[in-house]
Order: sequence, then structure tokens, then C-alpha cells
Amino acid sequence: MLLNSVILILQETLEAALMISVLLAVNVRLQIKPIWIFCGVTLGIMGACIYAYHIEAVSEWLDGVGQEFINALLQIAIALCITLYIYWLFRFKGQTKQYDLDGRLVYSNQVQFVLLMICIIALGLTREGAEVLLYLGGFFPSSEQRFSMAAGSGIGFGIGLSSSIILYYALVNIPGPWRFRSAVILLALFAANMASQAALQLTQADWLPHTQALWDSSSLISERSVLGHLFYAIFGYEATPSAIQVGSYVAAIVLVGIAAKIGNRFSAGSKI
Amino acid sequence: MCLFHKKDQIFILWVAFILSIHSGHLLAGTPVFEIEIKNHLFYPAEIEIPAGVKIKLRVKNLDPTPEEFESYELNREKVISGHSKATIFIGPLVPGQYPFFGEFYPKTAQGIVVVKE
Repeated sequence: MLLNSVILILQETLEAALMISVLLAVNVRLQIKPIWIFCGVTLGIMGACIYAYHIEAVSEWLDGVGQEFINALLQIAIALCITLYIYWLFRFKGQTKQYDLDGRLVYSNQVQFVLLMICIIALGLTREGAEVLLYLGGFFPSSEQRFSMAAGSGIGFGIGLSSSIILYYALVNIPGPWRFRSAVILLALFAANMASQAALQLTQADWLPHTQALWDSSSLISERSVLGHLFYAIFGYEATPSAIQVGSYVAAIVLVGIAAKIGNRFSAGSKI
Repeated sequence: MCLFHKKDQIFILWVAFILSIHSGHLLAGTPVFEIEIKNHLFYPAEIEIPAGVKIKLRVKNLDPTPEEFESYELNREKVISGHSKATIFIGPLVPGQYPFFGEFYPKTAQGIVVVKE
């Protein structure tokens, strides 16, 4: 029971924790106060409570596929928010630090970053958090397993948190232009991961057609392995992805690339 | 005298076309397979389905605790709260074995979908 809890909680927290650490690392550069992260986290936990509380009713929606619909909606929203976030990153690349006449920092460009960051974190936590709450809530009444579950969840959460701290310091300490690039690449991978998961949810709901798996790499890296879980959290690794999933993944990367290009063009124009 | 304009005719034809597709879809019907979860076990733990056919899996959770139906091979994942049921579409699949499990109680909740020609 203990090990199950460790794996489950780690799996659910890792994705969100890594996403938050990338955003935190970008915040250092944008000079955004970390307090806004907590704003997103609080909203996310509230969202998770609401979603978990109504999960039974939601599941009944749309002929029994309401859950898939809401999950896909959340994932698509996250992917779009990340795309917009990257657009603004490129648009204000190199000019986020502005000073007024008295030499104080001006935060005029930050409001969209703060808003998008809060959205990304809140939406991400709503989906992942609801699952965790349901899991924990299911165990709470059975007293004999309460201790091992609490211990396991604590360990799982701890590992997730420490991996995100490691990623944060790694990102902040990358020298030169690669600090910005690596954060953008990770964000783009998160967006693509969300798009592919949304496609999967819609296939599960029978709203998108079933497509055969494009490859099977389960013998190489199993989705059950530690590496498989880590890769899933970072770039949405699947051993047997369907064609439609791979298509959505690539489409999201292309979309993010276009957003970055447009942002860059506007940025170059505004400098003149 | 024309009852409908050309534009409307095209629109009506289009609606009829869409309806015919969907009614065909509904009439053909997706085969339904039922699984129950009781004491963190799947009943039946093994279901056999035909290859190349999309099926509807109805999972009834008779336990008071929630469970998550998960399968890496089927690429499926769905939370089912206590005392409720869930619908999961799977397939069409190629023949083979596709294990699934309950993510909240993986030690006991184990099952397999066997796809046969």
C-alpha cells in the first residue's frame, strides 16, 4: 500500500511540480514575485476540490463521457495558455526590465505573464489535484490503511517536490541564452503533452476516431518504469501512442513555434 | 413555385446526410461489455472481445471507494467514484492481450482484455 501511494502521488504531482518550477525559473528573469505562483496554486487546489466533489455528476454528463470532456477542455486550455505565454515571452524578450525616471522597476509588461501563469497552474492543478483528492478521500475512512497511505503520499509528494527544486536550480543556473531556450523548450513540450493527452481523452470518449499505435517502444522504456513516469511528466512519453496523439503533439509544437515567431517579429518591430 | 431556395435545399440535404450517418452509427450499435469492481477486484477479470470492433466498456464500481481504471496497453485512464459507473470506449484493436488495472488498488485490481479474431 505504501509503495502504491508513493507511485501514484509522485505520478500526479510530478507533472504539475515540474511545470511550476519552469514557470518559477522564468519568473526570476521577468522579475515577477513568486507570490503569484501561490495565487495559482490556491486557485488550483480550490478547482481540484470542486472537480473532485462533483466528479460523479460530471461523469454522467454527455452519455457518460463528461469526465473526458472536462479533462480535454482543461488540457486544451493549458496548451493554449502556454502558447500565449510563449508568444509574450518572445514579444518582450530582452525588454522586460524597464525602469521609470526614478530608477524603479516598472512592471507594465508583466500583467499578461502573471495572468497566464496563474491560469496554467490553476488549470493544471485542478485536473491532477482532483485525482489525488479522490484517491486520498477514498482511503480516509479505512483506518487500518490510513497510516501507510499518508506516509506513502508524503514520500511521493516529497520526491515530486525535490525533483522540481532540482529542475528549478538547474534552469536558473544554465548560462547564457540556453537558460531562456531550455525554459521555452520545456514549456513547448508541456503544451504538446497536454494536446496529446487531450486527443487521447477525446478518443476515449469516442469523439475522435481510434487510430492505430504508430510504434511500440514498451520494450525499450516501459511506461511502468521510473524513467517512463519521468519522461511522461516531462514530455508526455507514451510507449504506444496513437497516430492522432502524435499528430496533436506535433501540431502543438508547430503552433508554439508560430506563436514564438510572431512574438519575435512584433518584438523586433517595437524596438525601432 | 419553389418551396425552398437553393441554399436551403443544400442545407436540408446536408442535415439529412449528417442525420443518416449518425442514425446508421446508432443503429449499428457499439457492443457493450460490462465489468464490475467489488472488493477492489474486477469481475470478470478477463474479457474477450472481437478484433477490429469498437466496444463500449461499462465499468460498475460497487465499492464505496473510488477507483481509477487504467491501462498502458489500451491507453486508457478514467476515475470511477464509489458506487457509480463509467463508460470507456476501446478499440477497434488488433488481436492480442491488453492488461488493465485499478490504479488506486493495483495489488488486487488486475484484469485483461483479450482480443481475438
